[in-house]
Order: sequence, then C-alpha cells, then structure tokens
Amino acid sequence: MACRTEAEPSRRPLDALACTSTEECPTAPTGSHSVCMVSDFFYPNMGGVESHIYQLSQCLIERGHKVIIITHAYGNRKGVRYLTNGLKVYYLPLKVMYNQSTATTLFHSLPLLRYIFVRERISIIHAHSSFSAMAHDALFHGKTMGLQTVFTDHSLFGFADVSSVLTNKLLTVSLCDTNHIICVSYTSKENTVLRAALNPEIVSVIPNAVDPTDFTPDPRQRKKDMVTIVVISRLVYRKGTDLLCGIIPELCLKYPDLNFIIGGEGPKRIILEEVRERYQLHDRVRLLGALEHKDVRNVLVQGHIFLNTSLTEAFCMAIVEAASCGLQVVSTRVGGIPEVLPESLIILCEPSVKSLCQGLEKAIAQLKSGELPTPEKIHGVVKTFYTWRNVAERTEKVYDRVIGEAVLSIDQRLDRLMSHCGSVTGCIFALLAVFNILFLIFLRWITPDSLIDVAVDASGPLSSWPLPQCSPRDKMNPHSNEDSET
Amino acid sequence: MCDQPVRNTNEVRWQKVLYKRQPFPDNYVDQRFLEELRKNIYARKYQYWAVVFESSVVIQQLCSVCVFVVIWWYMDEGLLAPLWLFGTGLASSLIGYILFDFIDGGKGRKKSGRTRWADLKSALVFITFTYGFSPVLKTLTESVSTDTIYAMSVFMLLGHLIFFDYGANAAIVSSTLSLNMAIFASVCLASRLPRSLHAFIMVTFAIQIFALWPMLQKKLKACTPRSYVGVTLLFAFSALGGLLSISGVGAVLFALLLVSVSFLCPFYLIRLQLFKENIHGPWDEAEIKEDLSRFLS
Amino acid sequence: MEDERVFSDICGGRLALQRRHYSPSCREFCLSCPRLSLRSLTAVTCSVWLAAYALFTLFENSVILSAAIFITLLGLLGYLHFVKIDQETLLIIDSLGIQLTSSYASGKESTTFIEMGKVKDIIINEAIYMQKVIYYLCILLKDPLEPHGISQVVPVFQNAKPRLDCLIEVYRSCQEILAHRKATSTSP
Repeated sequence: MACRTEAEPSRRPLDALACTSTEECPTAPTGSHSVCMVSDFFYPNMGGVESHIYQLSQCLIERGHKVIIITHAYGNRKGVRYLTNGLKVYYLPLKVMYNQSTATTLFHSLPLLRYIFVRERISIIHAHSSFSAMAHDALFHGKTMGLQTVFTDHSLFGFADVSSVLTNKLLTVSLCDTNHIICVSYTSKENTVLRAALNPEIVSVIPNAVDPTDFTPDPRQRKKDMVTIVVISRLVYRKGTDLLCGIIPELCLKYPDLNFIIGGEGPKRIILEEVRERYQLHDRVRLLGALEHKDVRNVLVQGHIFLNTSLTEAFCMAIVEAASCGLQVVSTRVGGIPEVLPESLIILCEPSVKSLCQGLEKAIAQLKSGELPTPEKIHGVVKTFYTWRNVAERTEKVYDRVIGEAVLSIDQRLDRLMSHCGSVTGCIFALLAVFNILFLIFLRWITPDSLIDVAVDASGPLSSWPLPQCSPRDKMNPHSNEDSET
Repeated sequence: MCDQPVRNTNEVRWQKVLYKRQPFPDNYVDQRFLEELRKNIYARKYQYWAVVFESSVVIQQLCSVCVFVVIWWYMDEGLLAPLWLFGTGLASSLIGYILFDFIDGGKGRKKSGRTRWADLKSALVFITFTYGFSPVLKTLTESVSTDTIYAMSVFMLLGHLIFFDYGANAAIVSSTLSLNMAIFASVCLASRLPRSLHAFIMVTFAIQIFALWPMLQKKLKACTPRSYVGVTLLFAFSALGGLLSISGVGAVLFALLLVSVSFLCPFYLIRLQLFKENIHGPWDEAEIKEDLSRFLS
Repeated sequence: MEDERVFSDICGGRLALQRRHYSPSCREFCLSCPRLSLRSLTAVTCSVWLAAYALFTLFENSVILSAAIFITLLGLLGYLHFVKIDQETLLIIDSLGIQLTSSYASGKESTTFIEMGKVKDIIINEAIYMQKVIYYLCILLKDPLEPHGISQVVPVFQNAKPRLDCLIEVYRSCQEILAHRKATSTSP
C-alpha cells in the first residue's frame, strides 16, 4: 500500500533507532557506502543507461549499500519517489534542453543537489553518461563539496569534427578531478582515456549486463520451414539502417525462404519502407515499430539469426540479449563489439553490404546444415557471461577504492584544473570552480548543514524499508507527485 | 573478475575480451593498451604551388568586389558615362558567352539541354524588368541615410565574400546567399547614383560580375588552367590599377592583401600541417563506403 | 493536560508547539510562529520611505511621497490580513474528524474541517520546495468511489513548515488516535 510505505520511513525514528528485525542490519555499516547515482536519463525514459542505473542500484541495495538516484522531472513525475526495495529517486524540476538532457550553467543545480547530498549523507557520487549535463554538474558540485566521485561512460566519441573537439574538452574538465571512471568495454576505455587525457590506472572496465532470466530461448516460436533474421535497433544512421536497406533486397532475391523482422522506430524507417515497396517484400519484411522492453524477448525468439548493423557501439546489449535467446549473431566489427561475445557465437563482418551479406550467408548455411548449436546450449553459455550481481560486485570494489582516497583541497583542485585542461580552458574553469565554492559558502551561510533534516534511509544498513520479500511489487509509488512544488 | 585470487599473471595473457573472467583487476592496463591507435591516416599532403593555384579563386572574388566598387565610384563621380559602361559590359558578356561554349566544345550545353533561344529570352526578360524597375530602385532607399547605405553595402559585400562557394565542402558555403548579398549591395549602391539609367546599368553590371563571371571562371579553371592563371593575373592587375587611380594607399593595402592571400596563407597552411594530430581507432564511427542509392532508385 | 515545546522551522526560525490532550480521543496541536517583530516592521517601513525620498529628490514630485504612505499602509494591512499567519492548529477528534485552523495576524481565521470517515491516514511525506527538499505532514483522503484509492492529499502546517522532529511528535500522537479509533470501531 502506498500510504503505508510512505508512512514507514517516519515511523522508524519512533522505534528509538534500535533495529527491530535482525535482517534489517545485515552488513556492518563500515563496509557500506551511501551512493548517489546522478543522470539525466532514468525511467520513465527507456534505454541502456536507464536500465543500467536501475539494475546496478538494485544489486547494490541487495549488497547492503544505500543508494539514491537523482534525475530530472519527466512531465508530471516530479518530487520524490520510491521504487522497488526502497530505491529512492529524486525527480528534480530542472529545465530540459535537448534530447532529455538538462541545461547546464554549472551553478543553478547546486542548491538542490547540495541539499540532497547533505540530507542523504552521501559519500560517493556516481554520475552516468557523458551526454547528461546533470551528471557533469553533479561531478563539479561533488568536488566542490569534497565528496568522492565516480563516472560511468556509456558511449564512444570520435575526434575528427568540431563538435567532438568541444565535447571532449568539456569531458577533460569534468573528469580531471574525478576519482574513478568506469567504462563498459576496453575500446570505450581507450576512447575515454584519450578524450579526457586520463591516467589509465583510474579507469576500470566493467561491462553492462543483461538479466538472463528475461531472455530465455523458445525454439517453438520459430517457423520451421523459414529462416528468420531479426533486427532490433533504433532506425537511425548510426545504427546502420542504410546498410540494412542494401542487405534486405540482396538476400531476399537469393533466398526465397528468408524472412526479416525489424523492430524499432526512427527517422530511417521511411527508406526501409521504400525498399520493401520497391522489391515487393511486404510478406517477408515485417516492420514492427517501436518495441517495449518486455516485448523484445518475444520478438527475438521468433528468429534464427540476429543482425546488428551498428556503425559505432561501446557495448552492444542487443547482441547479448539475442545470444541469450539462442540466436546466431551476425554483427559489424565496430567499437567494443568484438570484445562482447566469443567467436563461436558471433560472426563479425566489416561495415559494408557485401561483407554483411557474406556473414549472413555463412550463418544461413550453418543453420541449414545443422552446424549451429541449439538455442538452449547458446543460452547456457551466454548466461554466465554478464550478470548484474557481478557488475555490482565490481562496482563495489571501485567504491571501496575510491572511499579511501584523499579529497583534493581547494588549491590542489585549482592547480590540477589549470595544469590538466590547457591554459585557457583550465583558467576559465578554475575561476568557475572558485565561484562555485563561494556560492557553496553562501548557501551554507543561508541554510547551515545543521538546519537540514537528515533523511530517513530507505536502503542501506540503517534502512527502515520493509524487507525485500514483503516489499510492494508496484514499482512506482503513485502518491508523491502531488507534493512537488518549486 | 577480481574476486578470484590473482594467479601468476606472467602465465595468463590478458585478452581484450569482456566475457571471460580474467585474473586481472578491472583497472589493469596491458601493454596492448591503445595499440590500435592510428594517427593522421586521412591527412592530405599539400603542394605549395597547387595551393597557390587554388587560392586564385579567392583572389578573383576579391578583385571582382574591388572592380565593382571602383566602377561605382567612377559613376558616382560622373567620370564614367553609363552608356559606355553598358556597351563595354554587353560586349564583354557576348565575348564571355561565346567563350563559355567554345572552351569545352559545347559539351556543357548539350548536357544541360538549354537552347540559345532560352538564354536570349532570359537575358531579355531580365534587362527589360531591370530597366522598367530602375526608377523604383532609384527611389527605394531615399528615406535611408547615405551612411547606412554605405555600411550596409560593406557588410553585404563582406558577406558575399564569406559565403561564396570557393569549392570548399563546408556548412557555411551558400552560393545563393552570397549572390543575393552581392545583388543587395549593388542595389543599395546603385540607388545613390544620380539617375535611374545609372542605377539600371549598375545592377546589370553587378549581375555580370557577380553571377556570370564566376561561372565562366569555373569553366576556365577546369578546362584551361594556364589561361585561367593569366586571366587571374590580368584581372588582379586591372583591379589594382583601377584602385590606384582612386587612392594610392588603398591600392598598396589591397596589393598586400592579395599577396598574403595567395602566397603567405598557403605557406602557413603547409607549415601548420606538421602539427596535425588526428586520432583514429576502433571507436570511430564506421563509414559506409558503398553507394547504397542503387537499392532505392 | 497541556504542554509546550520549542522547535525550529526549516529556515531556522523559532516555532512553539502547544499540545493539549483533552481526552484520549481528542487532541489539539497548535504551532505558533513568532509575532511580527517591531524591528523588521521598522526596517521595511524605513527602506520604503528612504526609497520614496530618493525618488522625490530626483523627480521633485510629491505624488511619490503620498504613494509611499499608501503603499506602506495598504501593504501592512494586506500582509497582516492575508499573508502573515500567526498560528496553525490541528484539532483531531476521534469520532468526529480533523479541524485545521490558521489564524492570521489580523485575527482572521480560516478553518477547514475533514470528516473522520473521509480520512484514510496521516503521513509524513517529502517534497521539493523551492531549493529545498522538506518533510511535511499531510492527511490522505479516501476516494469515495474506490475504497483503497486516495482522492486528495491535504498538507498540514503549510505556513510554519516545521522540521522533522516536530512533525514526528504530531504524527505519533495522530497515529495513536487513529489506532484508537480503529480499535474501537472494529470491536463494538
């Protein structure tokens, strides 16, 4: 019940701070951290970063840490919400500028973020995604407040054009005093180290994970007399939809028993429809449009082969999900993809129509001759590769390492900014850092830390949240949206 | 990965794969780190004289603007009879028109499928309309002060130079915008001339020098590079001569500008190439090299 | 039985909480803010008048001075009558309901009464308020159509904004009464 769970935290101090149930204090508080995940991208927005943050937080809570999430308001969803197992989410009313990312002035978010960091007694700030302005803001403010910071980079960037030069400069500034950086693949690590001019020792590689129980094979769903190729991606240039437009007619003319199922939506959908129209392939190419995450598995299991045509990818979750459903994966050899699956499970091709067609033909030939392992066998192999528990364990190691590090003093921080980020940018941002510190001093004078009520923990060792088994199953608490005003 | 006890790391070789639990810490840096890094693989090598030759397009355009302003000044001072300018312009246009077809032996005309009759028609239509509207042009900017007109013309001509299509593949290039700005400048300046006939001839001249002349230049450059260099030199010297007759200091400054654009800038570009450091690696977005339009058309 | 304790609001201002226990089933909580202090009143009036005199010396128009008089007088009246709340009271009676009263500095009172049958629960919730995240006490009202749904959330002590320790005090007493009510209603 909503009201019950709302009332629960406040009941806790009445119990005279004694742990009433033994299970509520499973870990010694010394080993546990208070982590604040910050990113512009979180549910109800859907995507790789969002599910990463959610799953990682859940596994960290399970391991006895206190985790809260800060993101910006999505429509009517503002204020404070609780998700499963007492995962507390702050939806801050900040203006969204572009692509669900908030605007940044480096200052305007300080009062709220500082208030939350103080009331939740946060010790580690974990920011996600280099596209998120809020994540960078949080790193900056975190350092101003003398907290430890960790950053996870989920994407790859080039170095060639003007926009990437600028964003790379900003990343250099943002990560210059971050304690530790997490990348999702080795290629992503190389990329981030180069972009932000980092010491590679402070960059860890922790891959993403998929929930293997969500992606189980079901060979009965496949059509026996047909070969079905599944493609699930956003239909945009970066995902190689143009290549797909070349592959479809080429292969459909060659193999009369070939079917395509394409899931996803995007600006390039129109050219797929044109190809389908031109070659009269309406019965063989199905365009499903945007898919919900829960439907992905049901689409995947209908296919024999999964095709990924991305032109750039840090860590491709889609191919792991497909392999987990027992499909043979054919993919372009770009970014971190070669690191993700062993060669027995994936056919890697160059990003060209010719090479991808060859790869697909090889897969079809193997399929017809029965050389491919059974879906169950593939699933059995893949499910051991990536689990969220493992990710959480490794992330916890990063936290353990970071918490022991010394926080740079103000002058050291300014020195580092000026020496590390180039003379002009360094000086500008050092000046901004000084302003930020002055702003923080002003805020501390207006509302001293002693006036900020310490929040009642919903997760972590001092949690007053009910045990996970009896926790409410509904993920979102529907009754906290009336109370958010700005 | 790291909860396994660290075994003898010399025996186990680190692999760049994520699916294996390897006995290395997560922040392990192997010797193979960044081994796929490549630098400057697409960098172009420039030849000095080739760059100088390419810079002649800029020279030509600078000279066009200069010649235009000089002619306008002469008209404004009453030193140049409008009919004389009209006659010369018409004659040179005719010569240019014949040359335009002559250079490539009429191939371009066959390709576009445009008849001479159509050319004549559009020329006539244009001249008649400009002539008819020239009194309007004359009085159009009467309420605007002369200083504003001059300032506006300067900005428009600068804009013309900035947005002109010099052959670079950049977002800023827009030949329509550039041509429009030049015509706007010419209309502004023409409206300050004494009579409507002057205005008409000034605008016609602007069309000739800003719209038709670059087309001929392009063709000259593509087909007969040698003669193009000659034409550029001739044009530059005549522009300088014209400017000299108005202001000696201006001519010297203009000559310096031309020299720096054609000789110093290419030299500087080639020097700066030595410092180029373009990084490439597996993280780059792959390029689709094939022509995919055949599937769609 | 009556006692008084001193708490602070979220900005650090002083708040006095008076609790009156009339009977096990009837309690009253009264949060009073400090009265309008002479010092702040003088400061505001002086600054308005100084500004008016500065404008007067600039424009030499005596309308400004008379406008200043009106602004100060009307502003003070409006402030006392519509803005400044001296006291907020929550009266909870087991069998009847909950009465919320706010008394303005001018003596005006506004009262809301919620029938006990409509009250689902009293809880402490969190909200983002200006640049702060605060706790507040609120009453959940039952949805008449759906027995488990909530139709409305009524915040209590909206003006005083006491801190968590004060809210817990009130919350606990209210819960006692609600529990008492439940116990009596289920066992006839």
